[in-house]
Amino acid sequence: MHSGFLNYVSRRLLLLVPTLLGITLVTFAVIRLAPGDPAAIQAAHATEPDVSQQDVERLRKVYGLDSPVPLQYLRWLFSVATLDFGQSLDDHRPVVERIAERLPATLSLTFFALLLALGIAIPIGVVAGVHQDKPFDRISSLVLYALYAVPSFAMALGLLFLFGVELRWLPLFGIRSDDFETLALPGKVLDLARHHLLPVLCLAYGSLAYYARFIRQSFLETVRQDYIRTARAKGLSERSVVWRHAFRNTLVPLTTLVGLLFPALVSGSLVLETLFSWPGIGRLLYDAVLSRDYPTIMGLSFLSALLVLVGTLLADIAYGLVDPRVTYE
Amino acid sequence: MSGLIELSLLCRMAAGHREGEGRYRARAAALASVVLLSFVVCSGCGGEEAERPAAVNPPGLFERARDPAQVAWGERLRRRLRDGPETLHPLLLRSDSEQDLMGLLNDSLWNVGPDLEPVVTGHLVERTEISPDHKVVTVKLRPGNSWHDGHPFTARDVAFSFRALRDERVPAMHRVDGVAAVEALDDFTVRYTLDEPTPALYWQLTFRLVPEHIMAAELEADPTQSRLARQPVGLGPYRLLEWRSDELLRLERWEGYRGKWPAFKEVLYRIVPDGSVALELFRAGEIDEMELSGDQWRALESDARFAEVGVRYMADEATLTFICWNTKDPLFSDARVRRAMTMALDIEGFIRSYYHGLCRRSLGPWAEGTWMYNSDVRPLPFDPEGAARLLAEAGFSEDATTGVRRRESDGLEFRFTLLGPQESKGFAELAQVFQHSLRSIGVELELQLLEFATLLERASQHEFQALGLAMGTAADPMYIENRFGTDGGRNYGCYSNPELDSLLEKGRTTFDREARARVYREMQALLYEEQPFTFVFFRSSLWAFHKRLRGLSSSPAGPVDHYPGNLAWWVKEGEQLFGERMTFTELCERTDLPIATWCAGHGGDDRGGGDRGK
Repeated sequence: MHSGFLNYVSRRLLLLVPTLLGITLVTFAVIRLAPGDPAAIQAAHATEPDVSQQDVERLRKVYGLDSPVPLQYLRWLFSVATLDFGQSLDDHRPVVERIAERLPATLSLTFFALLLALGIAIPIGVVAGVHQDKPFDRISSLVLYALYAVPSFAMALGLLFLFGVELRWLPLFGIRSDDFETLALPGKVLDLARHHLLPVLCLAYGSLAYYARFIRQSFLETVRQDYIRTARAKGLSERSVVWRHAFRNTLVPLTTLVGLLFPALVSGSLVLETLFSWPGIGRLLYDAVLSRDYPTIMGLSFLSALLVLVGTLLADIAYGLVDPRVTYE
Repeated sequence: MSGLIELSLLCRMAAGHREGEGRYRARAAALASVVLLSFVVCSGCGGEEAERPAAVNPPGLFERARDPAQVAWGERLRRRLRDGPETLHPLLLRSDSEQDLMGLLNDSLWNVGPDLEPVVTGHLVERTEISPDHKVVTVKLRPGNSWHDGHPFTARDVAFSFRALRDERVPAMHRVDGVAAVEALDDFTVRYTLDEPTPALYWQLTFRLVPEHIMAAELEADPTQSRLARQPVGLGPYRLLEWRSDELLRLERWEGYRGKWPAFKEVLYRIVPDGSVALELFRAGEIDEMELSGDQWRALESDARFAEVGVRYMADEATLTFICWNTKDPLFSDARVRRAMTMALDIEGFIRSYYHGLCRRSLGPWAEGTWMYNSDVRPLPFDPEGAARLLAEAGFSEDATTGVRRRESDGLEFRFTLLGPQESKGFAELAQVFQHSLRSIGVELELQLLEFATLLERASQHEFQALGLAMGTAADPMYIENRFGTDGGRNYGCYSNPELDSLLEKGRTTFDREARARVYREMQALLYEEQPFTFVFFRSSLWAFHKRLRGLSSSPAGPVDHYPGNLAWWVKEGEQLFGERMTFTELCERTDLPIATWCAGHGGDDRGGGDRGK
């Protein structure tokens, strides 16, 4: 069993490489086949009145865009092999540095949103499963679906207006106050919390319905299992059956789900980042796509692909750990 | 009651959103209509908000600081940027926001004033000598100026900046084409040599300066990797204190500055991408300025909370919306057809109904009030019948079976595709009006909205029939060659007219201002006659400013993108809201420079002149 496990993991890790290669090849092809040219876009946005086609050609040369696209892909691949993701065409800084700069803002936003969403959805889902088709089940699903239907930008604007403008309880924008650096540690934590509250709420509420229904379904499947019947037959209290026997097994499918959510943690949300003036990955990617900043786009999609693969691998491993029936033979 | 106000504001915000941000357009529009409906339903039970319209262009906003003792020298200015800068490397700037910031962090030897005339940076330049053949310009620099790090500024920095710009490995956009050489003759003498003499001399000679002592080594190693990009070392009146990407930039007045000191001790740039959020920030008193959309401008008319903190500003701006006709297309090679197109578009009606009259119809590339503008050009009337006659004259006669005009000679049907930018506000609406009106004279227009990058590619490869775009024309008129000259770099529509080319040549080689003005006026009349573009309108600059701000200047380039721009803004002693108090006496004590003679706060008309110094 132990050697089987190691075998399994190393096989999966080896598979990662060709899969990643494939993903990057497809991404590279797609962004290079799309019309548009970073040099031409830069020329169009230039404030100088006499920019010409020659300027565009010169920039293309500086950026190495004049060589054949397959060659450019190989070049990119080789430098990635040495962990060099190249320089952005927008600000000429290393892509890794640009991503690293914006990653914390996105990570903390999505992490807390996920925590909040699961923290609310799990109890609701289980209770709704226990009281299947009873008023709580019906009403909670109605409320959650109603929330699900509200577009996040409308919710964000409404909340911003209420708490930021009318009541003035919460800041209107950004991740921290101007005087953040001068605050003591508790002040910093409080400041960050105040800035996080609305965006976390807006990012979380939409997924509540999905998670809660997922948990409810998983719970309903679990309670149909033989061991639950056994537990009930032993004469255990309903409370003990639900929380000690059914609940823990309800969470098993959740490991796969969380594994798949892993990449979502770093992809950010363009709409919310824009409305809350949040310095995250979503805006970086959007701007990179608009300006055809190929190295940044490739860097971000590589990161996201890698996380998908690692996330599913971790989920599969975790699955085996929580469910002894799964083997890696 | 409060719920109602909230609803109405949400509605306004959603509507503003639709104006400002094309990317959320569809969803926001749907929301707006829903909210609007509920708002209309309960408007009967509404409350009464005080109708106190916020002032538009109040005289105080433009008041100059005549006496430095009037000025609050410790105040903080809080500006808003829609997009943050990518780089602050002086040679690699591209966006407006980068240029805007660089105007505070760095100085050039010449700037562009509000009237598009060059302004000499008086504390850097002592005098300029131009050779009789206009090909050699010798600039004598003033000693005693230094970079932010204390290193002295010399002629070698100027020569080095030119060399760096011309380095093949530097991805600079602007390369001062037309200048053959820039040499440092000694520490304080620079000699520029031009390929050809030019009347737009300072437009040609100006480029951003970089410190040689920092960039020389970087240029040897990897010119794209410069620490100046994130930690600029400039010559300007402000230094960069802090930069948080996509969040904010904090600038502080530099006490080693030998030019005129700006009034604000600190300038904060907040990066707020969303227009409706920015407006809420403004109303909450968190930012001092922002550009408004047309809908926002209108909504603020009766906004009591806004009137407490701000005033509105409106001025003409030289940003032209046009439809470019591809003259290589068999439909649009004939000027009569292009004229007919313009006559079939109710431009004035559209400006009235869609933009609430907030734009000005354009009669050529240049804005009214500029020195090259020809006020004798008369607009083509909105006259579909006249347009139909012109089309018939050009050989396109009506076809009763299809309803679409057809040319008898070769059977060509009058159908065309108009490309437009997806992100633009109002363009789709304009095209719909156009389409409707063209249909009545037997012409079929199909609209295709494209993402900007895609549109640009089609434009530069001339793969289109008609194309809607906007461009800024706040520059010397000779640069219009780029758009309409036979070999123009951005002549998307392949327009070629020997008569125009010879006028362009004349404008490039005439030195007398009046004679030049005559050339460009003639050129405008010719362009309007020929209609390589349907010149649609100039948009207006619509802004909100905090009501304590003064010293604004208007320009066809907008209230910010010129010199002195926000360097001349100030706040009166006693009206200061932020930062430490600092009187003029206290300010003078902070530095050993004889600033008493310099701190005129950009008063009067002496901006930038050589009116200070040793």
